[in-house]
Amino acid sequence: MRFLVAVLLAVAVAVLPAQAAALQTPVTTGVVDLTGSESGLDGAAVVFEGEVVSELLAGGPGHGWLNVLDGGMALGVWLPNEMAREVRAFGDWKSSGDVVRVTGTFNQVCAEHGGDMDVHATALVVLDRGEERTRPVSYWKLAIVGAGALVALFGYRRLRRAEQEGLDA
Amino acid sequence: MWVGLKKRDVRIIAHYVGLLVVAVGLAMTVPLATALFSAEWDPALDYLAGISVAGGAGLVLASAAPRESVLSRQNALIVTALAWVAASIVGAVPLYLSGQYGSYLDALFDAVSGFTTSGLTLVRDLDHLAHAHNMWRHLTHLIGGQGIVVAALTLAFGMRGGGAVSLYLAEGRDERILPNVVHTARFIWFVTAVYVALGTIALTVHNLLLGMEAGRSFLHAFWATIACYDTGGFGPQSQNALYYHSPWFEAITVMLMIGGTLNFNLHADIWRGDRRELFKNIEARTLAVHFALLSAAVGLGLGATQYFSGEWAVIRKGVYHIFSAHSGTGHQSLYPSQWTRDYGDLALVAVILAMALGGMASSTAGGIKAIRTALIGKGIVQRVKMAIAPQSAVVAAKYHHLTEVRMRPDTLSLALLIFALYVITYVTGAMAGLMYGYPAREALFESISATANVGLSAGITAPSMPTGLKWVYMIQMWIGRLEFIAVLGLVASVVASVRGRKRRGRP
Repeated sequence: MRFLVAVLLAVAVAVLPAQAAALQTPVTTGVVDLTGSESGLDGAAVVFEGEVVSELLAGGPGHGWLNVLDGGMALGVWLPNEMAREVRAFGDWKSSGDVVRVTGTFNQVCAEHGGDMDVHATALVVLDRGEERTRPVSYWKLAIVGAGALVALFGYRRLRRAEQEGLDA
Repeated sequence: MWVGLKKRDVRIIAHYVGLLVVAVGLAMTVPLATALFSAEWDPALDYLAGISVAGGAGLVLASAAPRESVLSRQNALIVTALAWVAASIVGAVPLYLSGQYGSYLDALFDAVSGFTTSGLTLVRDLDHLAHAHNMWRHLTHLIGGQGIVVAALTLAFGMRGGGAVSLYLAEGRDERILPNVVHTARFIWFVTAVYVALGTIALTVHNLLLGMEAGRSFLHAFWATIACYDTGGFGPQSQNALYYHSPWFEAITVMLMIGGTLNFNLHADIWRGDRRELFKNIEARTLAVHFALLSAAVGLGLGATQYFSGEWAVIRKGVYHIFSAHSGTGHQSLYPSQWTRDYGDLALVAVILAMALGGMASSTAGGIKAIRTALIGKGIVQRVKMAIAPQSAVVAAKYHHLTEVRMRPDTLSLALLIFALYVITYVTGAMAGLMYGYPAREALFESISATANVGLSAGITAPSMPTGLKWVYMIQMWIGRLEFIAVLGLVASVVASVRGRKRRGRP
């Protein structure tokens, strides 16, 4: 019986490569590795973590795009809308976005999406909720404002004098 | 004879450079308003500081001579060359104060890249940059694309004296659409306003449909419109055009890129209802041939690759980048590493050629320009005809460029001269990249992208790149934007002045 199951599994894996990829243990990686030099992971199941830096963008019937930032590089994640609804915040100057763990298939050049490099997500877990960032005001910059204004006043008075005296003065 | 600068010349030059710097300071009120509107208080201080520094430096320089001092043609060249440097120096101040640049040099690099409509960037963590700073980065494209002098002329900003015409011509513009240069400058802005309004509306609707919130939809639309129409290439997100994952975004932006790469004289003719000029004009025809041949080459090249063989991928990753490169925009929907890894040699060469050849003259595009390649082509045909014609025959070359024109030898030699200067600069920049240890394809790609003010990147341009190479690319962007003559005029004048002073100092 075990032998029969093993044979059937082997046949299924050989005949259905897409399903085979899904059965693979996802490779833990990062966006920099995926988008940088040859990762060798085209078509492979991957898992990576990063901060969401876009609202859910339309991606065809029932699907959407989230852009996920990791190590200074962002990567598009195509996923079902239900899965994306887990995400509440995206990062910008005022707030950090939700940190998510994405599992899915990495496409170096996605034939379905006009050649975009992307990940088709099969699972998404929110690891950390985004929150508002504190952006303190650097009041020392007022010193530059003041100094510049004084120089401008000096320049304006010199310009007025130059007007009266002419170029040959 | 080399003529050096006298003290009087230096004072007049300082005066006009100062006025242009004050104008750049006034332009910073737009990002200041953006910061206040978006409740970005620290960036608001960055722009108050920027305005203050520009106002201070500009007025001190302007006070070197009274207003309405007469500006000679030679001095206008120097003012133009220096104005772009001075604008970048003050324009970098608020960017540096943002804290998102590794050094002032990196902020200066972005200011130079912005004003020259290049689009290469050294900003860190772009995805978390404030609206105000994004507004300023994109506004530098708008100011630079129209021409800093044109921008100032539009406001008739302190240009009531004899300087207006000289400065206008010195900025490399030859449009005299209307008899008065101030009116011509205003017409250029009018055309721009029409494109910016249409592009912003179209992309705002697109972004809303994509699911973006209203405020971001508008801001992203406005910035993308400016970046494409002014053939700049900055984007508010690190993924640039790829952020939207949308063929519609790419289609709308391609239309804006084409608008930006058209000669303003051609815009004027179309505006007046003469659409036939678009089909007769030698520059428009040449550009159309370039687009067709290079699109075919990129299609063939990508078709032969392992990855981009699908039709949709050829259009969105191939033809899109030919338009982006040829117009000098530099909007990119690929990761830098993909150019040399996945793109294939033929397709890569097509994109490199598109960048090198550039758009039309008197537009916001960079590069060699279609009119020059057309003239050189005509010159070659004329030479061949002369070689096989009877000795007594007179072989004349004619072409249609706004009017029927008979090609003069000096026109051809100037086209060849500028062509040669571009090629020399492309190669020199590539050699610099090679000396810093970068591979040849990347080094050539980045050098041409900088000189032709395109902004596509194969990955060399990054905050961690060598300082020397940052300077090389900044100089390339500057001289490429001004098409060499103004910068060479500045260098020659300074050298002649120094030599003259030494000579006078001898017993």
